[in-house]
Amino acid sequence: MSATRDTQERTMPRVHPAADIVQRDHSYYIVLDMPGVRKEDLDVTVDKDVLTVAGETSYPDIQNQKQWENEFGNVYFVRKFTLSDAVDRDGIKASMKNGVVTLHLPRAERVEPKKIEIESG
Amino acid sequence: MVLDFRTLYQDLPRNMEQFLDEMWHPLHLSQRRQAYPPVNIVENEEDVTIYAILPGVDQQDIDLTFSENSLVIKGEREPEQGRYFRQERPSGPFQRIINFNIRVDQDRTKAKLKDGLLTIVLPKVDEAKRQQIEIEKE
Repeated sequence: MSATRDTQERTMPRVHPAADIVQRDHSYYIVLDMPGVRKEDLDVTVDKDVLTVAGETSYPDIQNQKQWENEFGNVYFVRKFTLSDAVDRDGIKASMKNGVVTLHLPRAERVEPKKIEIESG
Repeated sequence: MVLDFRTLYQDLPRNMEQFLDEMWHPLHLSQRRQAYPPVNIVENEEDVTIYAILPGVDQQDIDLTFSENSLVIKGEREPEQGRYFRQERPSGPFQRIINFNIRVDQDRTKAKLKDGLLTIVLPKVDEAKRQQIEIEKE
């Protein structure tokens, strides 16, 4: 991340997006509410054990209009998760729909229960 | 457990910076929501625009209904399927009523949904637009 971009991001309030973590079949899913973030503005990175999800919102500017209600503004969403060895880091996938980010974290092969065959002697 | 939050700040001092960083930037006030969904409403010469934050809701699951001087935004957020380790995202039915003090044209109202942001444009009826009053000369 360049220094210039970093400074720009800090002008917006930093907000932790709400997250759900669920297990389904042989995978874990992290689901985050990040409304107003465009797909191209979403940043998902894995650095060693730390998974970072970040993105800034692109709500229309309402500053110069007559306001009846003002309950939200543009924010910089950022949240970090520490991954355990049970996750296959190379298999992590991210998708975005209706302002919700879904991260698919497949379980690492070696944590799957394995049945040991007993050889007949 | 796949995601161990206890270890989040364990490898100091590398994470010290990250920790302090998050300390100096507390959660924004807008996160303390009272009514759901949160809305921004603006008015200009021609129309009234409502912006509502509705992440994770499909277009067909949002119900917009007009009554006399109000608009009702109704719908339901479906929870994720599976075994939960953490649940922070709200789910279930929601409803919000927006009242107007001016008349809007219900037939020409347009709504669109993009990236979890619902935008509703309500054109004002002509009589609600600001009118220039001519002062007659005697």
